[in-house]
Amino acid sequence: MVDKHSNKSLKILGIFSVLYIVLITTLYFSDMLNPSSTAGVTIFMFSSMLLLMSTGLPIAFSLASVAIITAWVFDPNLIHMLLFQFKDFSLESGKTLICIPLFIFMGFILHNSGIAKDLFDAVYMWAGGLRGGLGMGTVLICAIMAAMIGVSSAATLSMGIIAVPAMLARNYDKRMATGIVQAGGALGFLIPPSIMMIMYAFVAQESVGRLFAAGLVPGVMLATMYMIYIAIRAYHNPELAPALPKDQRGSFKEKILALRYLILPAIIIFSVLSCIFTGITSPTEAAALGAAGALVSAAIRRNLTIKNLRESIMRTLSLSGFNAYIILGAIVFSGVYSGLGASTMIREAITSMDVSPWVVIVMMQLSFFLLGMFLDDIAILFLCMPIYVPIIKVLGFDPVWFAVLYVMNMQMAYITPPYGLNLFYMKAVAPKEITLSDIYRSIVPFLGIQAVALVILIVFPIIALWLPSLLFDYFQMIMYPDLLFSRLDVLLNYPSLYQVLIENPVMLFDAGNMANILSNTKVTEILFSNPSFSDFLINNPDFPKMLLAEDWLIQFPQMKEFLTNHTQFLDAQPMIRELLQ
Amino acid sequence: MERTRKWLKGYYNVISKLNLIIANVLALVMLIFGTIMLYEAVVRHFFNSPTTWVFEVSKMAFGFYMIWGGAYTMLRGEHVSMDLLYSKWPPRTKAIMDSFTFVFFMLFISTLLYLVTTDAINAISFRETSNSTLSQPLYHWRASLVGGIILLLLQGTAGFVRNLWFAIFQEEL
Repeated sequence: MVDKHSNKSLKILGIFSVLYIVLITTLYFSDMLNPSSTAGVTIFMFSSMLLLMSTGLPIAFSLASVAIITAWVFDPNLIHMLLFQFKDFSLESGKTLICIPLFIFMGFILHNSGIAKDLFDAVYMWAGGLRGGLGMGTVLICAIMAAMIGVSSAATLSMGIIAVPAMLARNYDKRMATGIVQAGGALGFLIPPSIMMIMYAFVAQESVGRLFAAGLVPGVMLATMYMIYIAIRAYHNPELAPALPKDQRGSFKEKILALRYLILPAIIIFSVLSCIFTGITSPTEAAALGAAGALVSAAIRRNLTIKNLRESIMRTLSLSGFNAYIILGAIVFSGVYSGLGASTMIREAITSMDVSPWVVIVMMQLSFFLLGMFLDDIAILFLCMPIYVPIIKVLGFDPVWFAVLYVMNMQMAYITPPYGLNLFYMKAVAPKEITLSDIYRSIVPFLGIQAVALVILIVFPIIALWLPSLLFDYFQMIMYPDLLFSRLDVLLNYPSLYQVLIENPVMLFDAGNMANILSNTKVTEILFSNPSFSDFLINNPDFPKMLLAEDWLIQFPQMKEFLTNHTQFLDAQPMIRELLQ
Repeated sequence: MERTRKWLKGYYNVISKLNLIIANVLALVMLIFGTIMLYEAVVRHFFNSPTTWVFEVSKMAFGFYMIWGGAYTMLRGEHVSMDLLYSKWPPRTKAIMDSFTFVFFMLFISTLLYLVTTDAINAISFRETSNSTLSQPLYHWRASLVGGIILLLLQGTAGFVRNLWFAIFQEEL
């Protein structure tokens, strides 16, 4: 059996190699192996990468060595891209990516302190009485764990060990049980803190806080959709996911007691997210805070042994080292690709194409999905985003929204064969009676739900964008008024922010700030048509003084119009009336 | 023959042990930069005296930690690969294939080592400093990254020696 498999997979590799040689020879003789041929460069790089990866060489080294070989073949000067990207990564990336080891560490500490087991016990008490209750509870746990741990594998592995056997013992359908855990485990990408969002922030130069906020609502939406699906299926067909027998449901007192373990993690999650969302600390400091909080929580629960701590820091180191080299490999790869001019060519081709921007968005999603079958999520991020994000911006879409779409897509990639990591994790920890084909089939309905959610998000970007916009365009402006004067466009979406202007007359009656407001036609229109704001302006004694001191009447036509509508003001200020005429 | 084997085994063990010891110390670096960032957040908020050095130092510590961490990841075999085909092969085929793809690993790592070393020597020669207001010296740090790459290279060759032995003689080194 083993031999047969190995023969087959060796044959596949053999076929790949032959195809590759044929392909490269064709390229050579059709003279496409020169930097001016975008197709030649693209085919050469991606086919070499795929071939090298299928030999089992780590993805990081495959990407980097293909980049080096490509540089040799096409333009030897590009070798220095390796050094350039290395220097950029080792020093400059730190300001964003430094959260990664800290969030990983926080997750491992919380994980090692047995949080998954406690969560499951609480859910067992509370939701066991419902049809499908354990299943819905498992989704909920996965969502909570996603908020503590930025990597997806942790929830899948621990729920695979804890929840799957427990559900099977309660006569859950095995496909139902494994599907729930795999889909739920992938929620970690979307619900903050998410490592992938941090990396996207680094590549696309977006704010980590905004991205975190953008992932929260879709994450909760997706978890709710899973739960509704389970509830409907279990209601119509109780054999799939039966309720617990009465004697196992626990008394009210037991239910309350089961919650006590959740208090500390809840405090940590809440404080980390609120620090980021209110802008009290930077995301990196919030990560440090979360790591410290996790240590304290573990200490209070008497789980902070030397062994746990050591294991956590060592696993964090190993995972960080992996991240470092795969990021390096991918940025060198995309650096060489761009260096050969291919990115620019693609960008120009797409932006000059006469198709709807939505077609481009859908094509990009398809490319993510296809790449996701073969490539690691981090590699895809660092390969594609340097090319895609500028296109997205040119087409007038919001890069934050695009990040959410990307992450949704990676969730699907994580549970889609052949390279679906959650499938492997599940297989590794699932009980013996669950076969690989069970695992493959179990994900189908959840994959469907994810696809529906992706379409919903594409059609209604507001689902992803309203929270970041509310937090960072509205509440932060109220908290830090000086921010508002540098980002006046926010007033277009939140006209009620005029109150911030009124409450800070010192800033408002600063000549520079006022000139900024007046030079932005749309903002001025909104403000002047607002009765409270114009009353405030008219009645403030500083206003006529400034009008006389500056040349606004001449510079800004709206000002003239505004004043002619307020005859009382002009009656009281004859000098200004004179100037007007 | 037996002597060669002993030497190679010794080489593998020494390198792995070295990397393990270094990793044990290196893992603490994360706790250090976590702590200083927390310190910065506290003094800025509660004592209103932001520091100038934390941002730079934590960035440098982070780069150091990540680059040096690669060797330990290699030791644990956790550089993720697409093992769709790979996982189905018998151990010897895996060893043969790994010995072959080592060429590509070496290509990458030696190019990187060469470039980073020349850059570090350059940085030392003109005493590079950071271009921030602090303008603290950077060149020691640049040179230190070379060490991380060398460790990864050593760990890679150690794994190669082991794989090659297994591929040729069909027995563990």
